Amino acid sequence: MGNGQSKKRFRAAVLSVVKHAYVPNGVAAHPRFELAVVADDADQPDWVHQRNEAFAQQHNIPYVRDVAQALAEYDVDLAVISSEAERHCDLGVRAAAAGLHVILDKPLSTQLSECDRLVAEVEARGVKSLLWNRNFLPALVQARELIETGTLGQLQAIHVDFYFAKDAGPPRGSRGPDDPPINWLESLIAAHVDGSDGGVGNKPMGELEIEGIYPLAYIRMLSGVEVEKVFARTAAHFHQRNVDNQVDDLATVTLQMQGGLIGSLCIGRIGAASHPDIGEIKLHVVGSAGSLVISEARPEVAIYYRGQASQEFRHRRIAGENDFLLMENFAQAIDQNGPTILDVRGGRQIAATVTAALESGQNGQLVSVS
Amino acid sequence: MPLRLALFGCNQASQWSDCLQRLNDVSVTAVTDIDPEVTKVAAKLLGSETHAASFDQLLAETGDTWDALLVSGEPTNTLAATAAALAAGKHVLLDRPPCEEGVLTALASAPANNNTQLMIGGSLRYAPALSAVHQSVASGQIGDPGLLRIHRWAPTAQRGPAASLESGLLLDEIDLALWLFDQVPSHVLASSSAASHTGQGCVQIHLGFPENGMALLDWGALVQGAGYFSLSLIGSQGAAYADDHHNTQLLFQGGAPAGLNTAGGTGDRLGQLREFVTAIAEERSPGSAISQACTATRVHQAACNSLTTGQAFRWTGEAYQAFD
Repeated sequence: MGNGQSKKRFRAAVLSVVKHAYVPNGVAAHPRFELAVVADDADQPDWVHQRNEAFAQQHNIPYVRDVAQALAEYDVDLAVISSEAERHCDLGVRAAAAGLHVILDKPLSTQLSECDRLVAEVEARGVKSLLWNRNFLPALVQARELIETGTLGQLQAIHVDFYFAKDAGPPRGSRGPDDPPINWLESLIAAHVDGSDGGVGNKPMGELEIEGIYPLAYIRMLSGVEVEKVFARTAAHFHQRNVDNQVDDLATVTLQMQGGLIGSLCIGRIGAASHPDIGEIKLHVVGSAGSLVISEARPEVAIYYRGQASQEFRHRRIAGENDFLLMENFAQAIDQNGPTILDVRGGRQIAATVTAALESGQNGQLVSVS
Repeated sequence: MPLRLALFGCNQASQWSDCLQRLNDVSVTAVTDIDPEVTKVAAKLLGSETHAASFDQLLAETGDTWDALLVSGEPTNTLAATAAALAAGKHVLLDRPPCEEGVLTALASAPANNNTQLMIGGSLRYAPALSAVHQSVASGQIGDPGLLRIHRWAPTAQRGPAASLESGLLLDEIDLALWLFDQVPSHVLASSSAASHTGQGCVQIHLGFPENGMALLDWGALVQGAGYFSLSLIGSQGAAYADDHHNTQLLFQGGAPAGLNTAGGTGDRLGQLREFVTAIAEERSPGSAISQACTATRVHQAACNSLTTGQAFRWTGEAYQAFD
């Protein structure tokens, strides 16, 4: 019996699970958390109900088409939200208003006003919040330790490359003159099969908006300061879906931060042909006493064999405890009334940075982060 | 016919000697440096028949013993020496580009024989790894360049405590970016960390190119030890990665292992010299012509202005101007 089982177990309501099942699965994998119910609003479209129903069946828990009813009747302590991005905050607000702690899939929202509404509710209710992230990957834990122990001295710059070597439908330029533009929601619903549907929702989102939370959360954790101004270039360089919906799949962002710290971000969904594995994800950190180059994927093991599928990753990550450590951190935050590794206020600041970067990408100017 | 070189600036004579051993039909026949002792040592090392106390003496008294001038490092009077050599019908290679646009403009208008070649900087283009990256672009393998990322970190001892954007940091990297994209940036922004004015900090340049291209170039000061270089170029059909991290070996001497970068030799310097020699032999313009050096310097100057004013600059078609 693990140590975790001697403490209170927390019961979770899964509020919509149309996007990443890995979020509620990550919650359920920790011994102090259990999934009690899946719930969603009755007026959601059929594909949403179908995904919720399938997840509930997989976990042998009920699916309730009434969020308020589920929260009231299943004695839950927290809500886990993996809906379309534009519904994250509304579901979060309703859960927090019911006194529940909240865990949200990324991105926090497509609108800053929604983020602000959620931050206000969470803080008013005094509940804990966690925006799902990768800050406990082994390489990030190592980088954080080196910085916190002063090994690098005073930080001067942090640069992150965050590329996913995945395709996203037909390549740019492949649409014929009589073909209609690719419908965002329909294409993302179809992309669920291979897990490349991180931007599922009615509102099209670019790679910076969908995945930017991960590298920006690294920078936020490692630096401990806020971004003040950004300058960005953005492009739809690879995928027709992004071209048709006028959202980026490649972006660069200059970050000017508090205390004279600078940083940058390169991000993109760069196509499966561009890297032998999931993509180059690296951190370059410069300090006054030392500098650090970190490959986020390591440790990993290489497996090659005859007949290997071309899509199969040759290098496999190992020793990954990100999910466990996220939930351990969340449990401790509840137990000790402490902070989480990335709460909704931090998520809101990341969303503000992304919003400013998108504005800069349009107007070509330095933009202040609100 | 063998090409006869005169070397102006001898501090890196041993590196040039290594390069010359790998080239056919090229020799150094005359040398000069501001330091007479350095000049003598270089003459002996390179097997030079003559050496001179100054560039003026080199040109006046030994000019008939050499065909081309190699300006190495940043000796004084570079502009005057180059102009005089060109006027005398000599080919000229400046291994380091001047970072003042005015100097290059003056050189561009200097009288010269039609058959003389002037090559300026561009040394990064000829590093073996980066030549391979360029080839992947030129051949169309990786498609249209979309995003270039370069990290260049150097120990303070290598660049000196006064290293700054204004003194030429990241000029080579800008030249490389322009070469890879084959375009002039439409947007330029430079940023620096709070400590950059001490030579200990970091500087970064953000470039936006027409047709969706973008680049981030950063320079950081390392406390000591070896330098670090990393380049990734994301194209529409593929990507290229040239990264010291990937080429790092491990040395165990107790405690945590040290990372060792396997030396690339003098490949960039050799490539630069080979291009110069080949361009002369083929009577064509070298790869790093003055027009390209002028463009790189103009972009670099915009970055300096951006750093000073804290504003992004954009190309108007005639000049870089700050956004209002």
